[in-house]
Amino acid sequence: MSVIKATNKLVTVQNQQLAQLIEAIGKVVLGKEAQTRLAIACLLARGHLLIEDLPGMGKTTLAQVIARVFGLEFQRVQFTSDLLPADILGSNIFERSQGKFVFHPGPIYAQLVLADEVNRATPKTQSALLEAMEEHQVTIEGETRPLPTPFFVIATQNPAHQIGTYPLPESQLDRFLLRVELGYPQQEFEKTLLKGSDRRDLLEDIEPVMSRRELLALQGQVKKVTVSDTLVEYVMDMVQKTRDSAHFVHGLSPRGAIALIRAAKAWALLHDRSFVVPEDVQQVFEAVSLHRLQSAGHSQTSSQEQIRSLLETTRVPD
Amino acid sequence: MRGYQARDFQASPVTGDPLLSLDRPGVIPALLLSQLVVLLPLLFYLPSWISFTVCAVLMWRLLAARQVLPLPPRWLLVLLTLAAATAVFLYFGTISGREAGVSLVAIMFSLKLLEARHYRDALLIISVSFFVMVTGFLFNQSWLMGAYLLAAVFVILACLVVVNSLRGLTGLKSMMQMSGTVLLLAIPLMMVLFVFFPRLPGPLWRLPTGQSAGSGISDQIAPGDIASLHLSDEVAFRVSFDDGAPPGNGQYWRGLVMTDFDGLAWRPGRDEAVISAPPVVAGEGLVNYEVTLEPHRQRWLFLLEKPLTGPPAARRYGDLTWQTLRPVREKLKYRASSINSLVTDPAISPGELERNLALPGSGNDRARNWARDLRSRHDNDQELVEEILSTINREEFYYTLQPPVLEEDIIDSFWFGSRRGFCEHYASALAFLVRAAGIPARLVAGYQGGEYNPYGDYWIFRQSDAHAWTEVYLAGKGWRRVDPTAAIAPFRVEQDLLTDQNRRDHWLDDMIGGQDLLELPEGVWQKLRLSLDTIDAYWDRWVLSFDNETQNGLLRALGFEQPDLRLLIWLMCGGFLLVLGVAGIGLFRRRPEGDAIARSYRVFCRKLAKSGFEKQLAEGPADFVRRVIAERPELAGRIVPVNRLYIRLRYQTEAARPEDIRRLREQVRQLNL
Repeated sequence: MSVIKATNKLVTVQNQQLAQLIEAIGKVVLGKEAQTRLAIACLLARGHLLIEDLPGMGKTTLAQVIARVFGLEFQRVQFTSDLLPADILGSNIFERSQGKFVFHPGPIYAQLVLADEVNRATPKTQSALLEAMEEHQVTIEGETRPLPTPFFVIATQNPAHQIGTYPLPESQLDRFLLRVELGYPQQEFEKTLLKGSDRRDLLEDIEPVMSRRELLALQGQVKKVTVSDTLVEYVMDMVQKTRDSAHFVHGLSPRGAIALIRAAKAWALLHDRSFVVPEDVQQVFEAVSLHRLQSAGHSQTSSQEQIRSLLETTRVPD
Repeated sequence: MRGYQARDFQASPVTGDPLLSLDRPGVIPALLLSQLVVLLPLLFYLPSWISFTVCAVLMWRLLAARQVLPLPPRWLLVLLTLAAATAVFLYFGTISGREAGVSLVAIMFSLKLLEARHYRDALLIISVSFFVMVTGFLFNQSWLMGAYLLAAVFVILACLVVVNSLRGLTGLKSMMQMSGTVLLLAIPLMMVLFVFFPRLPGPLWRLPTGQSAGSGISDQIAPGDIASLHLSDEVAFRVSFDDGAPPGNGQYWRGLVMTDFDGLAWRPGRDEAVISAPPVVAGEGLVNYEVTLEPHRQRWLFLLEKPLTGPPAARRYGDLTWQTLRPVREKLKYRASSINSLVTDPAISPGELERNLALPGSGNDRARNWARDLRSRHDNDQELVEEILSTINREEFYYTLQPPVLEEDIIDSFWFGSRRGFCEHYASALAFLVRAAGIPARLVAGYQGGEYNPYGDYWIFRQSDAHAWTEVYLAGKGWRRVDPTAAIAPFRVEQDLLTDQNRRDHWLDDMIGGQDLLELPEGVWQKLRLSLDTIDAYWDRWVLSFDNETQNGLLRALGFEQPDLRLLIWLMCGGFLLVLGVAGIGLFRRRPEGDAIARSYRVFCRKLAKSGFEKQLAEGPADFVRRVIAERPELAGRIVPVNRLYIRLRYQTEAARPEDIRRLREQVRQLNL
């Protein structure tokens, strides 16, 4: 990271602090540094994260460890096909002792919510969660209650072809800033994993590296990262290519383009820079666009390849 | 071509569009200006009533634009047009020809402004401006006119920009910038057309000469003729010697020889024999030179005294003068040679002898007697001539540009009366007296003196160098030059004349207000004049005399065996398309080329590419440099700072400061891998 150095520094993530974060997470989630960085960038950009992979790949563990290192309140909701919106958002229950209805907040009232296997719930429940994510507030029976800050949802989902899933519609996938896949661990890491102690025990030992205030300050800094005209032109070129490509049903929407820039800003900040360079965009592009681009009848792997070739053919301006 | 967005300029002639009405700010003044720059040089050459009319019409339109006066109704316009055409016809007796034609065009052109109400009319006026502009060359083809008309094109283009701008005149700078750019872009096309446009042998059009005869020595010399020439600074001809000028400062250039005297004026003999046999040559002193003669609408050429060979296209006469077959109407360049030791056959034919002794039947009796008296005292012809010269030197003879008016017998009244005169008085008197004494004599008109131009290494002969002298036939020796003007005692040459040159050197000081303010070194004015004359000479050489022969020579040098019209047209069209193509590609490629930062970065990438690192299409600048350093860590110190500056300029700051951009360019330039 020493090649690029900002001259007028913002209060950015110190390299040291970043290293600590990555190291702490890496103790638990082995060999997933790239995904870890993306997850942190997503949190800094105030977006929500979608982790898509097979069961048992460490999705939940990643969410938990992130909650630990940032010292966030953590709630986990296991989505099932009989889960109702009220089970997530909470409901008014008649309290006999008080003689009136009292609001019982659901698990969504936490700073970090893990929505496990979100595609196993019915669309109605899914949309209740996603609406809350977007609005940062919950309205029940005409009463609006704000959600805590920071508010960060990590949803996990099984690959769409698994039995018993209600795939998230495109419009709702759009609510997730980034999507990552974890994938099988590399051999050496798997060996350590198998030999070592239980991940859950390790989690207990993790101490927060950053306070909630520091996190909020950093989230505020992301907005101040500058984006030059040249970079915007580069992003527009890239977005236009997704629109021109025959491989996708639709190209990236303007919201998708905004998401791309937002994620790139967080990525830049994460790398100690006060401005976005094309490399930032390239790093986050796949995570931003893969779940937003619907393949026109091909398998997803080829979508991934398509996105990579798109990255390789988009000219970086001089 | 950034900045030429369509939003400011619209070219479609939508007459109904209020945006394209002529009421936009600056449009009418622009049209007026475009007409004015075109008509201004013509006003010097056209009759004053034309100038007055043109100015009045322009004024009318200006007042109409300020709503002081209404525009004329249609019937009045028709009437004005007819009246103007009639007036031109009545004044010139024709409507064709240079003066009449251009006068008509000038008036009609200015009247057009009175009926200009729409965008279409404005475009028409601008287009016609380009055409009318060229008529200036019909009157004057000097480089000054060329420079003026080039500036005029610039102004007209600027006016065109105003006419086509939706908001009219918004800023002088942007308007002039665009006009200048267009002009610069047109220069390559202009060069192609200039070089390859087919030239006709001879001028494209033949104009009736009009009233203005060529200035210079005419075919008769009467007292006062040359004196009036002396006031003119106009160039008669320029000479460049192959091996430097001949020694001595008395260059006598023979133009024509006059033998017939009618008591008042001298004229050339009517039937001088053409001789073809070369004169006898003895000894050394051959001088080769090239003369560029200004058109004088006469046939005679000027050659250095004792000419040996002249231009092949001209005829040589027995009196050692050369004449062309047709009057010289364009600049003429010819080569000739003279030899100091030329010896001609001393024999003289009886007819020639008689003609060179002839005197008018009567008049000037005192002079005749005086000559006869002289003859009785001197047997030797040469002594007699010398006696006359010493008389001029001894007696109270004055050399002046303002001689008194002479009485009927001009030789008598000059020789015995006023004794004040110019070269032709002396030459004429000497020739008369010598003839009266029975010795053949004749008058030679030409130029003497000249001025050397060190900047262009040539000599200039102006009308003020015009001179007349006498030649006397001495038996057994042939014709000998006798310049009676040279015999005048120096102290009797009028001070005016001597100080003439000096005064010219100082008038600039006087104008500025005294030498205290500006100490001009001696001869500044002369240097300036010579420099300007050098430009003139180059203009002649490279522009005006670029005729079909020069063109063919150029084409042959380019390797075309037989240049003909078809080839020229092909070359012209080809060159035209080539220039357009190159300009088109330039414009087309300009967009991705981007700004100064991008240009510097491309140079940076090119330098790295030479070291074997090709930047990938989708490779970010930081990634690229990281890749280079991974392979060649020793380059880090040199390329990382440059790359860092580039990234900062490109991505960090919205508006990079110019000095930073310059710094980047400088760093990239100095980068040595």
